[in-house]
Amino acid sequence: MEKPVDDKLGRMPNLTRRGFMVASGVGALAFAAACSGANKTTSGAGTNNALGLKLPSGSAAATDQYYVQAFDSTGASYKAMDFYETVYSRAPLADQFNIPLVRLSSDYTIVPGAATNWSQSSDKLSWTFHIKPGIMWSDGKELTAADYVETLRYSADPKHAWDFSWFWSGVIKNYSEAVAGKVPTSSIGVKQGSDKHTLVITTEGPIAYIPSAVLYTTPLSAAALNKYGSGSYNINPATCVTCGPYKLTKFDPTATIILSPNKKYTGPYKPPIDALVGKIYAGGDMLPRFQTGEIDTISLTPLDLKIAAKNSRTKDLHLYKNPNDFEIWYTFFDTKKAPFNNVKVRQALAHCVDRDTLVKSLLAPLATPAYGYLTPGYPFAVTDPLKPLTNYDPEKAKSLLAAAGFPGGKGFPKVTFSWWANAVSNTESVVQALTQNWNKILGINIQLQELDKTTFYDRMNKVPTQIQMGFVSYGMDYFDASNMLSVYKSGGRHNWDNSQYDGLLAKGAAESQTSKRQDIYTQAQTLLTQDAPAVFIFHLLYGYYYAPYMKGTALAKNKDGYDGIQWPGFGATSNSLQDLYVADNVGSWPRQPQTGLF
Amino acid sequence: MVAYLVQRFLTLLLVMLVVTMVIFGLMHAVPGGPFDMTQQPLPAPAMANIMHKYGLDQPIWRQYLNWLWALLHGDLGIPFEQPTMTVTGLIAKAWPITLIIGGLTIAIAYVGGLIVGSVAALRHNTWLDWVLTSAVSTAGVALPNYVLGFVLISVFSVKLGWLPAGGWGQPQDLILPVIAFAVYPMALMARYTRASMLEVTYADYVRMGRARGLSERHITTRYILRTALIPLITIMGPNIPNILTGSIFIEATFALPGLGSYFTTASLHRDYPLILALVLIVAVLWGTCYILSDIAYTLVDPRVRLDGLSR
Repeated sequence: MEKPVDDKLGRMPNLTRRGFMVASGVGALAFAAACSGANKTTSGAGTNNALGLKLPSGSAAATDQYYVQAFDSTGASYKAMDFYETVYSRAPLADQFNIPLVRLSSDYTIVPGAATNWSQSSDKLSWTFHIKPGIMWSDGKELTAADYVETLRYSADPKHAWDFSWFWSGVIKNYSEAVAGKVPTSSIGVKQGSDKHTLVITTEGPIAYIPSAVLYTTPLSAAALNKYGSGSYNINPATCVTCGPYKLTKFDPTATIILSPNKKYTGPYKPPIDALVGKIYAGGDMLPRFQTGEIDTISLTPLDLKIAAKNSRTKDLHLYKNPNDFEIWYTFFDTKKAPFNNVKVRQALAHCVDRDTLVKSLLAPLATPAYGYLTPGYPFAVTDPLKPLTNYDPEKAKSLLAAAGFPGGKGFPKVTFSWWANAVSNTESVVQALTQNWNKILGINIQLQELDKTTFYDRMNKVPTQIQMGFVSYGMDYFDASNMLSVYKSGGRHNWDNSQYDGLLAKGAAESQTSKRQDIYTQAQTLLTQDAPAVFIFHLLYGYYYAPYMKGTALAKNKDGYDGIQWPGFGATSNSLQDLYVADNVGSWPRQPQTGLF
Repeated sequence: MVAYLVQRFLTLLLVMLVVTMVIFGLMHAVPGGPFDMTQQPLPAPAMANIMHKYGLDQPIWRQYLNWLWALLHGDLGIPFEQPTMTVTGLIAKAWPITLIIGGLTIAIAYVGGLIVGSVAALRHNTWLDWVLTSAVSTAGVALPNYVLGFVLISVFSVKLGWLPAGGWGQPQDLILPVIAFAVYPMALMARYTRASMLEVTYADYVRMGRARGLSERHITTRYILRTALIPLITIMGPNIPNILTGSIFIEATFALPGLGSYFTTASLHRDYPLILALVLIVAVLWGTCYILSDIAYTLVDPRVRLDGLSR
C-alpha cells in the first residue's frame, strides 16, 4: 500500500546536516550528469568560420567545424600527402593542398576546379585549359600553368620513379619515353600556352576523355618542388605549401594527421569544415571508435552492419550507400591454357553463378549483382542487354560444358582457384559459395587456394600469369569507360587478347560524340561478356555511417540514388568539400573533443 | 661470470648473423616484392625505375652485404613503407609504446600471478583455491586476449563510456589494453606457481623444516616459494620477449601505434629493412632473456652453476 505523501515529507526534519550535504552532493552530481547527457545546442548559423565563410542555418559553432576520419594502416602505408609524390601510399587526407584543373560533382559531372574552361584543338591532338587567375599559394606565389607543367614533368622523371606513371603513359605525348629515360622530361606534351594561366596538354593521339583524366592534376608548387627536389615537402608543417583551404599542422603517419584552416586561401570555394583530423589505426574494430565518438564517420563491412543493428546508438542510423570507386569483383582465367582457353568452358562457368542469391545471402545490402563489367551509374555502363549472356542458367551451363568436351564434368582437369581475404567484400564466403556451386552443378573439381595479397598480385601479374583462375577486384582510376574497360585490353592486366576489343577501345577513346561513344562502349562490353575472359560476380557498394550531426548536401542522394560522400571522397577533387558541415545537434552524440585544430 | 657472458654474447652474435641471412634469403624467396601490390601491373620501365631507386636491382648477396655494412655503422636503413623515417627512428617511436604496455603487463601479470598462485597453493582444496584456480586462472588461460579486448571495449567503452575504445596519448588509454594483455600471463603464472608450490610443499626438506620447528612464514618464503620460482623462470624466459615486442592483437584491438603491428604489416608489404630490424630485435631479446634466465637460476637455486661463474 502506498504511503501518504505527508509521511514522506515528515521524514525531512530527521535529515542530519551531513546527510543533507551528501544528498545535495549526489543531487548535484546527478543534475550535472543529466545535463551532460542532454542534447546541447550550440548554433553557429550566420557566424563566420576560420576561412570567413558564413555558416549555414542549423550549423554548430565554428569551433565544432572539424571532421574526424579513421584510416586503417594495416593494409596500407602512408608516405606522402600528394598524388604526384606517390599514389598508392598517399597518407589520409591527401591532395588537400592543391586544386586540380577540374573536380567531380556528386552526380559524377566534371565541373571546373582551377580551370574555368577547356577545349580540344581542331586536330584533336591537344587540350587547352584556362586557369582562374588569383589563386595563391601560401608562399605568396600565384597558381599558374607552370605548377602543372613542373608537376607532370616531375611525375615522368625516372629518378622519381613515380608509382602511377602508367596513368599518363600513352596519353601525354612523349610521356612513356620520358619514364623510360629515352627523352628528357621537358619534352613531354605539357606546356604553358599563350599566357601563364593557360595550360596545353598534347596527347599521343585524339583522346576524348582528357577532361575526366585531368581530375588527377593536383599540382605541387613549382617553386617548392624546385626548392626541395621532391613532393615530400608537404609532409612537414614547416615546409608545406598549399593553395587549398587547408594547411598541414601535424603529420604522424602512424597515429594522427591534422589539417588546419589555410587563412590565406583564395580558391574558388570555401568549405564550412575548418579542420580535418585523420586518425590512423593499426587495424582493430572501427565500430566502437565510431560509437564512442572518436571518429565522425565509419566505412562498414557486412559484419559491422549486423553488430551495429544490435546497438541502441547505431541501430537507427541511416546507412549511406554508394559505389565509391565503382569496384567490381570478378573471376578471371588464364585464357591461354586449357581448360580456360576454350570459350565454352568460360561461358559455362559464367552461366553457373547465381548472383542474386549470392548477393542476397552474403553481401546485402552492400553489393549488387554484376551482369556487366561496369557498375550502373558509371559512364557508358550497360546491364540489361548483357544479362542473357551471363544469367544463371544451370542447364545451359551444363550443355556448354558438354559442348566443350566435358559432359557432366568428365575429363575436366583439377583447377586451382586463387583468392585473397578481404573483409569488406566477404571474399572468403563468396569464393566458397561460387566453388561449391560450380563443382556441384557442373561435376568439376575446382579447389580453393588462399594467398596473401602481395603473393596473389605477384602471381597474377607475372608474364605468363601464374594464376589459373582467380578472384580479384578493380576500381576505377578516372571517370570514363576507357579506364575500367582498359583492364581487359591486350597486354593489360589479364592475358585475354582480342584485337576487335582493342579496336573498339581505341575508337571509343578517340571519339568525341557521347552517343557514338556509348554505342562503341556497348559493343565492347557485349564482346567482353560474351567471350567471358571474366565472370562478373558483384559490384561492391560502400556503406557508411555518419554521426547524426554531420549534415549537408554532400550526403544527399545523387541522381543515381547513391548517398553519402561520393567518389573521389572528401577532398580537393570533389565538390563534397563545400557541402558538408557539423550541425547544431552535435551534443546528441558522445563526440570526443579535439584540440590544437584552429 | 665475465667469461661466461662473453661466450654467450659471441654466440648470440653468431646466431643473429645466421638468422638475418636466413630471413634475408626467405624474404626474397617468397613471391611478390614491396611494389607489386598495384591494381595494374606497372610497365617495365616504371618498375625498373622503382627497383633502381631502392637498390633492389642489385644481386641479393650484394643487397645483404650492403645491409650488413650499414648495420655495422649503426644504420638499419629506410623502411619502404615509411620512407620519410629511418628504421631506427620508426622503432624508436613505436617501441616505447609497446615497452610501456609490456612493462606494465609484466609487472601486473607476474606479481599478480605469483600472489594468486601462492594464495591458491597455501589454501589448496578450499573454496578460495577453487575460485582462484578454476574460475580465474582457467578462464584467464582459456580466453584469447583479443576476445577479452573486445569484451572490455564493449562493456567499458561502448556500454558504460568510462574508458577510451583505443588510441594513445592519455593515461586512461593504458588501462584496458594492459588488463587484456596481462590476464593470460597472470593466469599462466598463477597456475604454475600453485602447481610448483604444491609440489614442493610435501618435499622431505620442507617437512624436515617443519619438524625442526621453523615458522610457516619462513618455510613458505625461504623453502617453498624460492624453489617454486625455478620453473617460473623457465616460463618467463620466452614470455618476456613476446610481451616486450607487443601483441599484434592487443595493439590492433586498442589501436596502439606500437611495434606489434609492424610484425605483420612489414611482412605483408615485403618491407625488407623493417623485417630485418624486427628480426634482430626479437633475436637479441630472446638471447638476452635466456642469458638472464640462466643467471636467475643461480640466484634462486645455489645448486645451479654457470661455467666460469663462482659464487
